[in-house]
Amino acid sequence: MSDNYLDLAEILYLTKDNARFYLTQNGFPAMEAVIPKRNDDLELSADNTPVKQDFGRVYFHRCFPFETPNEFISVLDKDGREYGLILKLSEFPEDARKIISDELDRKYLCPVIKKINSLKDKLGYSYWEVETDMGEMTFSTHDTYRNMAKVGDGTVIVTDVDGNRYKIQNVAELDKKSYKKIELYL
Amino acid sequence: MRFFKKKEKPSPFEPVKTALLKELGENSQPYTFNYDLSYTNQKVLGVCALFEKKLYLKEKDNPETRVIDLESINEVYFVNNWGCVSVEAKTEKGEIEICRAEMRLSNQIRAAVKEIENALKENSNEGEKEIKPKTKENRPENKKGKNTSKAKLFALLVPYAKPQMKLLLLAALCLVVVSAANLVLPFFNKTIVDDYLTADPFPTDKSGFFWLIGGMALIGLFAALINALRRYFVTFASKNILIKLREDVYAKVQSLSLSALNKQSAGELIKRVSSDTDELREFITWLVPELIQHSITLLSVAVMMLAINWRLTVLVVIPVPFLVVMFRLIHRSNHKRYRRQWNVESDAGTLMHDVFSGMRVVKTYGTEKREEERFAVAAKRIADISRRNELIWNLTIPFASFLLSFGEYAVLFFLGCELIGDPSFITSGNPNFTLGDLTQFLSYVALIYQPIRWMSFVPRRITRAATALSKIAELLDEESEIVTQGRVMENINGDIEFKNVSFGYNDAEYVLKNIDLKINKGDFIGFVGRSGVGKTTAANLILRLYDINDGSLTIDGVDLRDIDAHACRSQIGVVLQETFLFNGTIFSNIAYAKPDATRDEVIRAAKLANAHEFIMKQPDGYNTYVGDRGNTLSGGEKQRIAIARAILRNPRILILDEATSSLDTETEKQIQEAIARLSGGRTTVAIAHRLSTLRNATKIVVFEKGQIEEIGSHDELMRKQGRYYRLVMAQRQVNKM
Repeated sequence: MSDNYLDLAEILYLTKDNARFYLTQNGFPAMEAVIPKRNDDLELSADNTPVKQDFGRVYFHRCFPFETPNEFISVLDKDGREYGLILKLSEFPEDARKIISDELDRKYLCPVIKKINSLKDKLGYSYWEVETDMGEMTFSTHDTYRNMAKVGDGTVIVTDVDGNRYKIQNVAELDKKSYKKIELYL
Repeated sequence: MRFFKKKEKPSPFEPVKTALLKELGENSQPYTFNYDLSYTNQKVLGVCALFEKKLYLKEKDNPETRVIDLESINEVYFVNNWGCVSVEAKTEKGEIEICRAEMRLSNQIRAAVKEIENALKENSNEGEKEIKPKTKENRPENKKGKNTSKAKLFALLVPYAKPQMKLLLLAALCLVVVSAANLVLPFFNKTIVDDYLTADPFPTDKSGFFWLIGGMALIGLFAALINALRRYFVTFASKNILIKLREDVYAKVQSLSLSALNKQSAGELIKRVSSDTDELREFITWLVPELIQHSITLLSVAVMMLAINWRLTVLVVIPVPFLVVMFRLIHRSNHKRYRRQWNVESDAGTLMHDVFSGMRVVKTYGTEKREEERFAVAAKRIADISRRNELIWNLTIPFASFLLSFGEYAVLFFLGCELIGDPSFITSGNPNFTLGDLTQFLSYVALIYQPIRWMSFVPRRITRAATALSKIAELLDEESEIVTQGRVMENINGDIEFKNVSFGYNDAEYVLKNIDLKINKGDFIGFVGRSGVGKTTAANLILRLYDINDGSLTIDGVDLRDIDAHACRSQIGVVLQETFLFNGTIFSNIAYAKPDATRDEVIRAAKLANAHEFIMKQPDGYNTYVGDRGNTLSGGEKQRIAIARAILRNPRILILDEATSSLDTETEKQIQEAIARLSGGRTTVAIAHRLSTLRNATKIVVFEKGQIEEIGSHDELMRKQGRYYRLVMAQRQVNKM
């Protein structure tokens, strides 16, 4: 008998010991892992012994993209069913880490705003001209206050009208002029 | 990502495209699209062309052109990442990525994927070219960043102002009269001072003096009367305008399609209808007339002052630009601060709304204390910000008023010097300047500063009105759902056919893919499958709550898009997953489907839905008042009322979307039987998780991943031992307990 309800649910953690990541010939990340065979969702599984399986191409999804981008990374199949979770990316050997973080970089595109050159309000839209780690960018946001998610510790994620995301790592570290421009929305 | 600049720059993709076209040959006219990210998310300028069954990808500063043969591709699909999108394809040698782009290009990329898909299809069945099914017309590029000028926006208001023109003109006339009265008063001042107060010797006939005072009082009274009249006119006109505006906006919201409505929250829509329209009313009825009045005053006073003495007028006008700049500065900083306060206040409002409507959760988890603290933090934040704002406001305004009277001091100083015989460096140039002239002039100075001060507010108020207007214009621009067009089908038979139907709420992901399904009149169809596989969506499509993206959906052989949706829906009864009861009595809620229903009919419907019994247990019977969202009733009771509502309509097609899920099995069975009795000759589509209720279904459709996995009767599917069989077995196991 278990003391805690939560013990009843199990998370399958993928570690450097049970999972190996490699690239397919077309450059997509793939995984080979020693984990229990997955059953069809309708049948209860009886056998829990781990088996070595090659899953081919896998997909990643961050559980907490804002808070812990490099921890709790879900490894999924094409249909979004989970193989397991990576608890800490840093535990993996260099080559696997590179494969995973490269793929994460490809999936999550979020330029980091370094400086705000201009921020103008016009008829309910805000027009931004910023300098990011990917160069100068211009974009517009609607309902700016609501589209600037404060995700703790001064980090702000801005979502523009198209759905692009921009990150301000720490508002307090922005230069004064830039800070003044966004102060209104904080 | 980029918004319209005044002069539109040529697309940076253009040279790449030209180079690519050159490579393909002068006369080739391929389908092309742009992409702007490399495999590793670096910025590139790339153009892809679809030409002679090959994809050509060319990037700027890269002499090589990638070529992908469509022959090698089995399937192409759109991938929605986080902040970027990409096109991937399945080939014999595994999956490949074709290109990727920022979100801004996502619509074009999506269209491109469709185009490539079509090309692939042509590849596979060459010769017998399929007749392209009716697809949704490509939507125009995102509407954002529309460069509507303010003038154009305000032209929208003309139709609303027009019917009230008479009243507004009358009000304007009143304004002119009041301005004129204000202009005349200083003359009296002057005469009183020159002819009586400083007259030496004092005139013997004093009646003129009293007449003058009396005249001033009379003019004042007259101005007050006219002003009151003007307010009366304006209030009247503004009320009419507001009603019309609200009606229009409300009607517009009603006419929007569900997919358009999903984009906006209910709160936002309420704001459009109530406060934004109010902002516009204020603009039409107060701002515009006052602007006219103040302009008139400004001009006429300026003329008067120039007539009296131009040098002094110049003296008065000198500080005006400074004042205007100063006021604008004060306003800008204040405006920013107040907007921040408004934002924080609305946050606290949301918090309160959250906690109050979730009171049950808060209480059961015993988190009252924590919520108190959370609110205290928000309240403190508001207090901090608003205290600072008030402080700054109260500190600046008195000084601003002081600065306003500066011109007065200047005039007083220079003219005074002259009057007391100590001419300073500026003279009025008019040796006959009297004390009366001074009084009159000073009155004008006071008069002229008033409109100047007022006008420094104007730009902000115009912007505010423009913001409200643009939001309303956006809403009015939104395409209405066309419900009353096409064939009016009086009596629907109830044959429904899905032909290769695909649909997605957004174009990125299809919730339903290539659905083929024929439902005959009188069929009792069951939709089963896990949650989120598209059962409800398929049912919604029959109601045409959304338009399909691909394929065709027909009722009685007529495409749904060619049928008058209103007439069609009136013959379909639906009980939705989430039952919604309006604020009102049980009777009015059931009768909602058919406003002219008799009491007899309503009771019959309730009996069929097994609701009559519990309704009779309520002290007020059918007149029981169901509060907001029907909180006084249990889930099962609400569902039965909803079923009664659907039955009352006597629909040709009945859609039950887990309509009986909150009921006990016994009641569920009774209702199902009742419906089965009723459904002779009528089509019923039932979505259910409890498979036992679908035993008698003519056809059971098993959905999986947006596609139909199995179709057949209960017995057929059991024999087949496929997904349905396993679902049933799983449920039996559970039921054994």
